[in-house]
Amino acid sequence: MIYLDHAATTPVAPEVLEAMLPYFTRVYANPSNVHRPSLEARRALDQARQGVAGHLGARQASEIVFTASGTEADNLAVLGLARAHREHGDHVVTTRIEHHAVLHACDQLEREGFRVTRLPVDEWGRVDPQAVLEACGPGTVLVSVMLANNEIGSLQPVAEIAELLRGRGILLHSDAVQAVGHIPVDVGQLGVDALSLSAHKFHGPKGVGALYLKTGIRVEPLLFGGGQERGLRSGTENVPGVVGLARALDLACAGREERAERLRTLRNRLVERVLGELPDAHLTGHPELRLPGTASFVFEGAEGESLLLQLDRKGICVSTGSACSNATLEPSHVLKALGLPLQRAHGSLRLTLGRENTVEEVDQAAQALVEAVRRLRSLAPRSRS
Amino acid sequence: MYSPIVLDHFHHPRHVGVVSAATGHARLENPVCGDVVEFWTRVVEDRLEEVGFRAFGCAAAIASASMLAELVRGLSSREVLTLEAADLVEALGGLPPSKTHGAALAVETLRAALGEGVIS
Repeated sequence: MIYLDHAATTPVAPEVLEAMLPYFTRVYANPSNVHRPSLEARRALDQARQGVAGHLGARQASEIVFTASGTEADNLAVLGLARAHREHGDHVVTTRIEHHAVLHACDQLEREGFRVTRLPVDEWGRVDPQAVLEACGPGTVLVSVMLANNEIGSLQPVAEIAELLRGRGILLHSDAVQAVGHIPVDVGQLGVDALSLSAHKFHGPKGVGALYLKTGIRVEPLLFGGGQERGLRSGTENVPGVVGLARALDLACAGREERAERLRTLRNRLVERVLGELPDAHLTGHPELRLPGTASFVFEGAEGESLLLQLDRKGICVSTGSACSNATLEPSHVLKALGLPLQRAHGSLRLTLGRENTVEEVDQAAQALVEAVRRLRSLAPRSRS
Repeated sequence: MYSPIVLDHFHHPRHVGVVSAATGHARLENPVCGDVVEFWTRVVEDRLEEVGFRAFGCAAAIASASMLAELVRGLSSREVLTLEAADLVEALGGLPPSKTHGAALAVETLRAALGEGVIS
């Protein structure tokens, strides 16, 4: 198998699994109690929190709230921050290419009476910081802009947005689920008030995420109960998951730049081969300001799901945002936001590389992809009317 | 997600391409999802002697056109017109509910090809 779907999820690193295992079987006590096994579990949580805070450049470990997923972290940020600051305003600004964890949370805010502005992006999938500022008014309480897009890999100018918003009393959240562990993410340098991440995107386990929440900022919890995570996220802590998240982040941050450089080289090789051999093939997203491992294309005359299945038959795992791949029969909201003609959006394909991929795998995938596109084009009606 | 029959027709489509001395032709597009299906037919003495297709779309669209071409070859026009999308879905070993429009487009296009008569 050649796995090129790392933006969807990544395999758990062996070192991460090893770090987690004792917390399933030996240190299984509930960290909320005061007997010694509980204290050991509590220590593991504290250490993990300290480690994550350090990697993100947070000032205090207490600024990290562990959740059960990136989606939950996004929901806690968007819903929790907006609801907690409702007395100051009822307006939220975001972009059209956010993950559904943010967009659907914004839909929920609208049902609760908030107003939401969803800003367009340019053809590279980047939002204009000035447009963010102009969208904000006296009633704006929250801006949510992702750090890196999951479909096309484009990076957003979050630090510039933070600079423009400074001193205006508007909270800034960034969904950094695709970014953490892959590009430098420092909450101080970004100037964000809240930032979401998810362990399984950087070789940690599924079922655990985290929200960075700057000290002093109020957030309304989504879950009520035992008051864990400073009352912000009730529910017995997922100790093995949190330990795994922290270990995975350690590994991801150690040697990140060299790894990113290697991924960029591999990705560029893939992109050049594919675009060099196929006419009417296009890279989506920004050519340079993008995640190191993300190659995303649209091909005219070859539908995305059909491409995916042809590659799957050769043991190559990729993703598509084409219309046929989802129940609504419409291309993904990200492809639509780029302003792609519908015809092109149908042929979208995303290949996301990871640390275990080799040059040989990339060459094999490029060759298979070129063949798959040619084959589907040979089946397609000649000139599309 | 797809039945082995669908995958077989998708990976090994039958009756692809233009039919010589075609007596009918149609090309329809689903404006929502973008699937395009094109059929050529050659009817001799009310028998569908030859049928060919081209398709752009997901595996369901391609497999539907391929299976339909295989099902109707040799039938009379009347027999072809009694075929419904549901029959095609059944012959394919089922399709996910969100994909049955692929079968419907194939059936509709073939009917149009038969109704169109001789290509000018």
